[in-house]
Amino acid sequence: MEHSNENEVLLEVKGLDVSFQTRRGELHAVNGISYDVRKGEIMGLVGESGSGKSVEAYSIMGLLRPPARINGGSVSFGGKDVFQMTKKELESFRGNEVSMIFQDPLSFLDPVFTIEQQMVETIRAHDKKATRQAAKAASVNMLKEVKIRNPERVMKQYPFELSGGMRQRVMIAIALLCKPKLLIADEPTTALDVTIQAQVIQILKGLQEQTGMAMVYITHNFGIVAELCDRVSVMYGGYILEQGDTYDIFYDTAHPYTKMLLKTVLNIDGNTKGQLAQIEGTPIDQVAMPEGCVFHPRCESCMDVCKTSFPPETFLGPGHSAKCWLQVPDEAEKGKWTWEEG
Amino acid sequence: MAKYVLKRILMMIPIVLGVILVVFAVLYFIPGSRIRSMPSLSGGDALDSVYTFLRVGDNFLTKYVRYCYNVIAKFDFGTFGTTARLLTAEMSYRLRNTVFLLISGVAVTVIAGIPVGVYAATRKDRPADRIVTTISLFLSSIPNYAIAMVLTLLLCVNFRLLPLIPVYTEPIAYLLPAITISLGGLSSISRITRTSVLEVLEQPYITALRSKGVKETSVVWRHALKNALVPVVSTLGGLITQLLCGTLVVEYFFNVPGLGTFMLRSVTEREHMSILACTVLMTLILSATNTSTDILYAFFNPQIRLRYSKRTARNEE
Amino acid sequence: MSSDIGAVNNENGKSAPDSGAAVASSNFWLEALRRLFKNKTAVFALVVFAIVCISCALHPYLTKYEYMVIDPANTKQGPSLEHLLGTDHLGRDLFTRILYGGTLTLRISFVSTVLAAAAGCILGLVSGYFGKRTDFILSHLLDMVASVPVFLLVILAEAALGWGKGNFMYAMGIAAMPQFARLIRASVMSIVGSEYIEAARALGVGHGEILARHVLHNVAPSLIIRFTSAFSEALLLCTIMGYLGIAVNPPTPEWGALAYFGRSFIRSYPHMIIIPCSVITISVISLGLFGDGLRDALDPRE
Repeated sequence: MEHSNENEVLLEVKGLDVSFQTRRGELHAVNGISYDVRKGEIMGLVGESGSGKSVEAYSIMGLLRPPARINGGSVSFGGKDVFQMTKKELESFRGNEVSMIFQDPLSFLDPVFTIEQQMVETIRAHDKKATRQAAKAASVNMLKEVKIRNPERVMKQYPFELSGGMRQRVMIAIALLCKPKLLIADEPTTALDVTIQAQVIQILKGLQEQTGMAMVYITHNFGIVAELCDRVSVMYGGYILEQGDTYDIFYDTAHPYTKMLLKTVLNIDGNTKGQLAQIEGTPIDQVAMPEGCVFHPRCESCMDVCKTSFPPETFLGPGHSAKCWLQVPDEAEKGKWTWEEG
Repeated sequence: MAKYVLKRILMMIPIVLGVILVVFAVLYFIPGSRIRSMPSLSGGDALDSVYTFLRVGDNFLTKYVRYCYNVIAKFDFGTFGTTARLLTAEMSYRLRNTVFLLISGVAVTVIAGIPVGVYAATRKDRPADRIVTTISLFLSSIPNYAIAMVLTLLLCVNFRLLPLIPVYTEPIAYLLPAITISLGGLSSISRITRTSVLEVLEQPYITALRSKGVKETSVVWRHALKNALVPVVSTLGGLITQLLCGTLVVEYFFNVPGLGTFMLRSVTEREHMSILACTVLMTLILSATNTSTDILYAFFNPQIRLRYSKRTARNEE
Repeated sequence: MSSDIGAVNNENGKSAPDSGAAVASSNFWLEALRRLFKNKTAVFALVVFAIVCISCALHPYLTKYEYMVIDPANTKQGPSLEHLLGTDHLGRDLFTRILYGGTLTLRISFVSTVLAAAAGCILGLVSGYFGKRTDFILSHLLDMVASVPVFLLVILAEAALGWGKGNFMYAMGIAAMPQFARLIRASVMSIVGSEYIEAARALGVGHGEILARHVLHNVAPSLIIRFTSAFSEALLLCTIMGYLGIAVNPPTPEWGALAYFGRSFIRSYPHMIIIPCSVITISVISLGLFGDGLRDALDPRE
C-alpha cells in the first residue's frame, strides 16, 4: 500500500460543495469534501445511495448542468483547475485524461448507434489524424483487451443486442480507448450478476495494472473495496466521514457508520449463522439536513454533542482521518459518561 | 427490412378496401344516392361473365366489388355530373396539383422544421427559444386561411410582389399556397422536435457521450437528433394528415384547381360519385404516406429494423 | 404501428400513463387553483376568453343592429362609431355578425366537445371495465375512427346524416371522442387490475361505486386538461369547416364563414377578412394558453 515512490498527486478535490435547486428547496448533494488521488492508485468512494458519490464524480468531469450548482471548492487535475477550463479544453480533457464508466450500461450507451460508430467517434474526437481504418483496428484491439470473444461481430451490433456483462465490458473498452490517466467507475458492477461482477472487476484490475492509470471506484460494496482499492473514502449525506488506507479502514475502523457498512458485508468464511446485518433507519433527507453530525439520527453511539455540532476532522494515523466526536478524546469521555447515566 | 416493407405494403390492401367499403356504404344507402342508380360502370369484361355465371343481381355487394375492381385494375372512378364526364380525367390533373402542394409542404416542413426545433432545444429558456416557441404556438393556433390572408395582404396587396389572382399554369402561382401549407406544419414539427430533443438530452447516454469528450455539436446534432427523430418520425403520419387538411383549406383560399376544391364543390353539389372518388384517393394518399412513415420509423429505430433481419436478437456469451 | 411505438416508449421508460399519477383530494384542487392563479399568462388568457364569451352571449344588448338585416346604403364601410367594426358587402353590421356568429361557433365547438367527452367516457368505461373481447373490438374501432382525417369524417357524416349544424356537431364529437375514450380506458384498466378494488369489494362496496369514485378521482385532472385542449381544437376546426362552407349553411354568420365572405374583398376592403380572422385567432390562442396554464397547474411534473 506504499506509494511514496510515485507520490505525485493526480487529482485534488478541495472543499467541493454542490447543491441542486429543487421544488422543495436546496438539496445539498456534496458538502465540502476534500481528497486526492495519486498516480496509479485506486481510490474507493463508499456510501449508500444518495450519499453524493455520483454527483461528486460528475463534478470532477465538469459534467454538472443546471439545476446542479457548484457553490465552492475546486477540482484540479494534474495541476489544472477543471472549473476554469474553457469548453474546448473540457472536451479534450474528458475522455482523453479522465474517463468514466457508469452503473447501467444500457442507458449509458447510445441506443441508435452501433458499437463501432460509438468507438470510432470517441477515438476521432481526440485524435483528428486517425483514419477510420486505424480507429477501427484500435477499437477491435480494445474489445479484445476487455475479453470480448468476437470483437468484429460485436462492433457491428447495437447496445440492446448485447448481454449485460458484454455491454459493461464494451463501456469499459470505450472509456479506455484514449488511455486516460484516471478512470472514474460509478458503480460499474451494481447492475450485474455476481459471477459477471467478478469478471468485470478482474478485467478492470488487470487493465489498471497494465496501464498504470489511477482509478476512483464508486461503490456501496465493501467486498469490492477490499479486493480492489488502495485507499477508501466513506461518504454519507455529502460528507466524507472517514478516509484512509483500505487496511486501516477495515482493521482500525474509526467511524460508527463505517462499522455499520462493514457489518453488511457477508462473511465469506461461511460464518453466516447470524442474521444478515442491516443498517437501521433511512438515508437522510438532503433538503432538510439534520443539525450537528449528519449521521447522528442513525448512529448507535449518538451523544448529546453530536446533535448540536458537526465533529472536526481527527487524524488517527498517516492518511487516516475521521469526522466523529468519538475520536475527539475529551468528548468521547463525556459521551461515555452520559451514555452510562442514561 | 425488405420483409418488413413488404408486410407494411400488404397491410395497406385490407385497410384501403375497408375504407372504400365504409365510404361506399355510407354514400350508397343515403336517400337519393346517385351511386345506387348509377349505370353499370363498364360492360363486357371478365367480371361481367363471372356475375352472369354466378347469377348475382345488381345489389350493393356486386356494385362494391365492381367499383373496387374498376378503381384498382383500371383506375376508373366512373363518371360525374349531368354530362357524365370521366372522373379519372378530371381528377388526375387536380391530383397532380394537390400532391405537388402536399409534397412541397412536407418537404419544407421537415427540412426547415427539424433544425429549428433542435436549435430551440439547445437554447432552452433563452431568448431564441422563447421566440421560436411563441411563433410556433401562434402559428399552430390560427387557421390556415388566416396565415394565407396575412401573406396575401403583405405580398400581393401591399408590396405587389405576386399577382393577386394567379394563373395556375405558371409555377410561381404555387409559391404562396406552398408557403402557407408549410408554415402550418413547420410550427408543429418544430415543437415536437424541440420536446423530443429536450427529452433525449436528459438521457444518461448523452452524459456518457460528453464524458468521452465528444464535441457538443456532435452530441446535439448527431446523437441527440438521431435519437429524437424516432418519436418525431412516428408523429409524421399524423402531421401529413394535418397537412392534407391544410392543403384543402389553402386550395380553397387560393382557388387552386386541386383535389380539395373539387371535393368541396362535389360536397356542395351533392355529387356522390365525386365525393366517393375523392375520399378513395385521399385514403390512398394517406395510407401510402402512413406506410412510408412506418417504414421510415423502422429505419430510424434499429430495434424494429433488426427484428425483421436474419441476425439473432441477442449475443449471449 | 402504434403497438411498436408503445413498446419502445415503455422500454425507454418515457411514457407514464397520465391517469393514476395524481391522486385528487380537496387539498390538491386548492393547490392547483393557487398555482393557476399565480400564472399571469393563464389568468390573462382566461380573462380574454371570458370577455369574448360574455360579449357573444350578451349580443342582443350590445348592438342595435340585426345580424341579417341588409342596408344597401352603407355597404363595405370601414370601422366607425356608427359601425364599430364596419359593414360587409351587403351593409350588415360586422360587429353584430361577429357577436352572433360567436354564439354559434362557441356553442358548436363546446357542445361537440361535451358530446365527445360524454361518449368517450362511456366507451372508455365499458372498454376498460369489461376488457377482453369488448375492449379489443372497441379499441380497434376507436383507433379506426381516430385514423380517419377529421374533414373526411365531417364530410361523410354530413353526407350520411344530412347537412346542418346538429349533424356537424355530432361529426366533430365523433372525431374528438377516441382521445377521451383512451384516457378513461387506461385509468379504468389500472384500477380494475389493482389490489385496492379487491380490498374495497371485500368491504362490501359495489363495483360501480368503486369505479365511479376511484376513476373520477384519478382521472379528473387529466380529463379537465383534455377537455380544454379538445375545446380549443374544436374551436379551430369549427372555424376551418365554417370557412370551407361545411359547418353551417351560407347566410349564417359563423366566424369561419365570415372570413370566407371577406376573402373576395381582400384587396379593397381587407377589414372584412382581417376582423373575423383576428377574433378567431384571439379566441383560440387565449383558450390554448389557458389550457397550457391549466395543465401546468394540474400536472405538476417538471
